[in-house]
Amino acid sequence: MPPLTDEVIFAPVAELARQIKAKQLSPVALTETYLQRLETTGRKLNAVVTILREQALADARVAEKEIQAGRYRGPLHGIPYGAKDLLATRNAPTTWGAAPFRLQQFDYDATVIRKLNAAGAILVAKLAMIELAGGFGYQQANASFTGPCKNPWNPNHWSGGSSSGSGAAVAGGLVPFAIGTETCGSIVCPSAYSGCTGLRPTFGRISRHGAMALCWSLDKIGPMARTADDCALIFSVLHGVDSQDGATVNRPFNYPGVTPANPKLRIGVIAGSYENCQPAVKQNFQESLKLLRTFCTVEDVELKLPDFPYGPAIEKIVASESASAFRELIESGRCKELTDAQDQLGGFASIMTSAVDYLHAQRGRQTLKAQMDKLVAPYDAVVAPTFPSVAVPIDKKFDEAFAEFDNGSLIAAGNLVGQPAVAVPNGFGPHGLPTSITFTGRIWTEAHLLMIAQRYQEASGWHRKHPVG
Amino acid sequence: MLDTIDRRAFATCVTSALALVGLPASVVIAQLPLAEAKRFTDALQGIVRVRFGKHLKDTEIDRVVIALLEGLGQSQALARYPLKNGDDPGAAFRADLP
Repeated sequence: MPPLTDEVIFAPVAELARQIKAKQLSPVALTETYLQRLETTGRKLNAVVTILREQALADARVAEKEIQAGRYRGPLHGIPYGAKDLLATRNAPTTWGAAPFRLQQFDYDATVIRKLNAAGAILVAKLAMIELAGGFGYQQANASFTGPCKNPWNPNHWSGGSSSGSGAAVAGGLVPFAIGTETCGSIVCPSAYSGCTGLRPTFGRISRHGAMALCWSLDKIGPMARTADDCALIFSVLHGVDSQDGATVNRPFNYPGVTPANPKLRIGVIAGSYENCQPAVKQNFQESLKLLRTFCTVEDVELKLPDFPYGPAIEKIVASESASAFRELIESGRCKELTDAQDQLGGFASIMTSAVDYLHAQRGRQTLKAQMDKLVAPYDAVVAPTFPSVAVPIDKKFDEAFAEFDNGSLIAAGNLVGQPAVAVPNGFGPHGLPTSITFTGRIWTEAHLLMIAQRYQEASGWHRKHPVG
Repeated sequence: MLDTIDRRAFATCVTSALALVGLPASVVIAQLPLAEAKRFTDALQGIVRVRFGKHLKDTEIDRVVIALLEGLGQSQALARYPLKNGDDPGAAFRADLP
C-alpha cells in the first residue's frame, strides 16, 4: 500500500471523515500511518507517553469492517486521536505526566474516552503533559518525566503546556485531533505555541469524570485539532451532562458551520492586549483585525478588562484546590520526586494557603462574572493575541524568556468566569514559530465563536500550514 | 538557621520576592532591621520545619519560606479587592443527595 501523503496526514478531521465514509480511505491505513509517526517523530518531540499500537489497530480493523458493512457511526468513526495523559484509560497507564504516577493504571475509561470510543474514534496514544498539569507552579518546559515537549515547527522551542503533547501531536501531524485540558491556559497555550486550533469550552460543558483533578472549580476539557470546524465536530460528541461530574450542564450546541459573510457580526478588541507583544505577534494580530473587517464590524473603541486581582485570585484558587487534590503526595514528601524544581517544593507552600484567602478569591470571581459578561455581551466575539510571544526556548526558565512581553489578563479573566475561547493560528514570528489569535465571548456561545473562528480560518488559510516531516 | 547562610543574601531574597508580587521594597519585612526580619523568617521556617521538616533540607525550607512570602503578597493584593458580606462564593453546600 503506498504511504499516505502529507495532504492526508495533515487533513482536517472533516476531510478524513468524508474520505472514510466514502470508503476512499482505510481507517487501518490511517491508524498505521499515525502510529508510525508517533513512534518516530512523536518520540523525538517527547510528545508521547504510551502508544497503544495493538489496541488501536484492533479498533481500526473493527471500524473498517463496520464502515464497509454500512454501519457508519458518524464523522469520528475510524478517526485516530490522542488523549492528554490525565484521562483514565483502562488499556494503558495514566501517568499525569508525573514520575510518582508513571505506573498508575485505572480500570475504567474517562467519560470523554468512552464517548469518543462510542463514536468510533481510535485512541492511538496517551500524550505528554506537564506534570500534574502545572498546578505546583512549574517554571520551565522540562517539567515532565517524559522531558520537555518540543515544538514541531522548531524543536529548540517548547510546544506549550500543560497539554504539551496534544499541541505537538496535532500540529506535527501525529494525530488529526487530540484532547487537552485547561485550568488556566493549558489548551490555549499549546494551541498558540504549536500552531493548532484549540477550544476551551465554557466551564461545565464537558464531563471531567476520569480526568485528573487539579482544580475542581477551574478544570475544563477541550478538543485540539486543525480547524475550528473540527473542534465543533469533536465538541458535539463530548458535551453534555454526566451524573459523575456534578458541574456538568445540558446546553444546546447549534453549530451552523461556515456561514456567508455577515457584516453585522460585531467584534470587540481587548485593550492592552497587543501593544506590548512581540512585534510579529502585534503585526499578525493587526493583520487579523484587517481580515476580520472584511466580514465583520471590528469596533474601534477597545474593551478594558475589569479591575480585579486576576493573578492572586488564580494563585489562591489553584494553590488551595491542587493542594487538597494532591494532599497525600505533598504530606508524604513524594512531591519531591517531581521533575521541576519548583514543582518539587511548590506544594509545601500551597498546602498552607489560608481558607480565608481561598474564599475571598471564590467570592471575588462571582462578582467578576457579571462584569465580564457585561463587557463581552454586546459583541459576537472579543479578540486578543493568545500569547504575547512565540513559543519560549526549551532550555530557559519562563521568566528568562520573552519576559518583557505582556498581553494582559484575558486568559486569567476568562478562566475565572468560565468563558469559552477558541485559539487559532494567525501567522508566524521569530524562529519560524506560529502566532495565534483568540476568540472569546459569553458563556455557552461555543457554537458562535467556532463559526466566527472558522470563517476567519477560511479567509486566512493559516491552519493549512504545517511543519515539514 | 540563618546563621548558617548569608543573612543579608536571604533578606535580599525576601525583599526581591516581595518586589516580584508588586509590593514596594519598603514594606514591612524589608524595612525591618535585619534582626527582626530574621525573627519573622525564622518563625516561618519554624512552621515549615514542624510540618514538613522530615522531607526538606534547610535550603529547601528557605525556598518554601520565600514561596510563602510571595503568597503573603498575593494575599494582601487579593484582600484589597472589596467584597460585601452578601457576596457568596458560589459553591454553596447542597443538601440533596448525589
